[in-house]
Amino acid sequence: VTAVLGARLALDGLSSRGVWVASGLGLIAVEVTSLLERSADSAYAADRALLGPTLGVVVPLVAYALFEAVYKRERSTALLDPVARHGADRRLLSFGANGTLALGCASMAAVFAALAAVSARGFRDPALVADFSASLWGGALTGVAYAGLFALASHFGRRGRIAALVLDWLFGSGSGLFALVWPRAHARSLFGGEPVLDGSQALAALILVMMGLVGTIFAAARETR
Amino acid sequence: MSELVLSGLYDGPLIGVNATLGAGSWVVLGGDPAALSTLVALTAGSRAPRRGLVRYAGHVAHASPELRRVTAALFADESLPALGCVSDAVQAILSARADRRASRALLDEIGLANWGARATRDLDASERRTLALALALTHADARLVVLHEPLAAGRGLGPDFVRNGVASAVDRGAVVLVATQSLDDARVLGGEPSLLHHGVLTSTANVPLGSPVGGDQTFVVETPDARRLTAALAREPAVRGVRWNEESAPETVLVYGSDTERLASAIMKILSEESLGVRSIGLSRLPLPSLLAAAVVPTAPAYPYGAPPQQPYPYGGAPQQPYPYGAAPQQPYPYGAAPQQPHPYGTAPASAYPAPTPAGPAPTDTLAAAPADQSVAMPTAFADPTKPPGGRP
Repeated sequence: VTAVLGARLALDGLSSRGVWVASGLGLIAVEVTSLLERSADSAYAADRALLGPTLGVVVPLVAYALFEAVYKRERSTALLDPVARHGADRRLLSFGANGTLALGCASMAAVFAALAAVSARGFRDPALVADFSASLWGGALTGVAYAGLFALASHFGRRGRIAALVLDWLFGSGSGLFALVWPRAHARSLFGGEPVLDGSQALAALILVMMGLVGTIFAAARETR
Repeated sequence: MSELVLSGLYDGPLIGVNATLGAGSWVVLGGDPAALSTLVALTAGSRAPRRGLVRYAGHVAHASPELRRVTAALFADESLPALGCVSDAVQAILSARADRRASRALLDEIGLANWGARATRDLDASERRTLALALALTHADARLVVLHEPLAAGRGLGPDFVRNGVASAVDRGAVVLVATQSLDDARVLGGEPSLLHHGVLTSTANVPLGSPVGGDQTFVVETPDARRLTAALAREPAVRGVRWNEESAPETVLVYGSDTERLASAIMKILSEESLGVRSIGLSRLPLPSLLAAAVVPTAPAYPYGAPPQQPYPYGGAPQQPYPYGAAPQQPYPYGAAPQQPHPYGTAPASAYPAPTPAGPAPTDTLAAAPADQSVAMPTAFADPTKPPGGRP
């Protein structure tokens, strides 16, 4: 019941207008940049659209917007305490809220990545179906990883989330040791870009899943019961 | 019998609070609202103290959902769960408590049914406290009840609701801790008194509190837009009266009323709506009559803060002027009652606002005796606390 309460708190934030505006703008940005890439060079349009604006800019920013809509500039305790003080377990509340956010981020990133693949390939491309399905689950894993990162960062409020966004952009752009804990680097590796420490795509997928799980569980464990 | 144990609490304004409270009603009096609200938040398990421990029946308050489930609390600043409407937020609270009642039925029971459909963000601070108080006092299984200024929050529900709720919790064997700044509220609610002073809790169980007397609260607002503020406040139902003297204190407005929270809300609303500048707002700790009696005396209305122009040594301290920067000896407490004030409720003949005689109709403008005073003439529904009852037509 307590985890469901946490999920309800998150769902209420996710149904706000800001989320729809951010998602709408994200969709437009993905569509426009994918079409531009396709008109420039259709052979590599899907790769460039996915690795560039979609996973590099739109997915992290919209995931950040989803967390802001739920946590509203505040630390995670500000969302949880009004329920927790009446007897709800903060850890379960946190797990419910961040789990729901992870699902939201995964859905959003999956849709964005699939849209980018379809728009960049065009409906007549024979590789469309394979790219579409790969983008769908690859995007979902990326969204989950960002949710884990922001769940941990939300313990420090908006500053924490902004810091996570900036650090992901700074260190996740590389492929060395410093890139190991940032979703951007592994998302790039998963979608066929430069690998992190020469790891495989399967490893990148596994790390993205682990980031989501560890982030959500650690965020819950950090709360007092 | 379960006891509430506060051991070595250090947190913000609290510097070593120790107490063991058994079942029954306890009232903590204190002049520092931050200390009282911190004590309530820590006792209710809202958060962990920086140092020390709050335990009840062996459970650590902030780390035990089971204890929080049987804790009913009213904080100084309440927030509702971030859900769309009040009914949803109340349902979430009931679910957290494992209370199977429906939120709408509960809201109906406490007379707040029309709040159910309102958005949670539309409730102001006072309304949130009222709702939290109602939820706290209707908690059927509460073993620990911790309330911050319940009578102020419960004005919409009625003092009987608060008294009965507290009495019912005590009858169930709960520990009830009430924190208040008001001696009058403490008297009304009863219970074993303790004093929270300078961050330390001292039992004053043997000190009788006496019977309730009632009275108004006064806010002192320092603003360059005193005239506009005075005019605008006259429209507010929470404001029982406003005092402003253009000559002696042109930037000081005294606003008084019976409900501190509604009064503060009204002042803030006016300041915001009228875009008025403000330097400070403070709640006077003294009753208005004492404040008025000491604020303006006939000898110094034109120079309330400085030396008169005939003073030949404005900065040098001439032998005949021992107070070069301040009030003359006869006005040592510009905004407060002097301890030796023989007429604390404004009946002293030296006051610029002489109290009217009880018999006969009072003038509509209660400050007619002081031409420079720009106080607003309140509608007849507004009583002036400086006047004895029945003095107004």
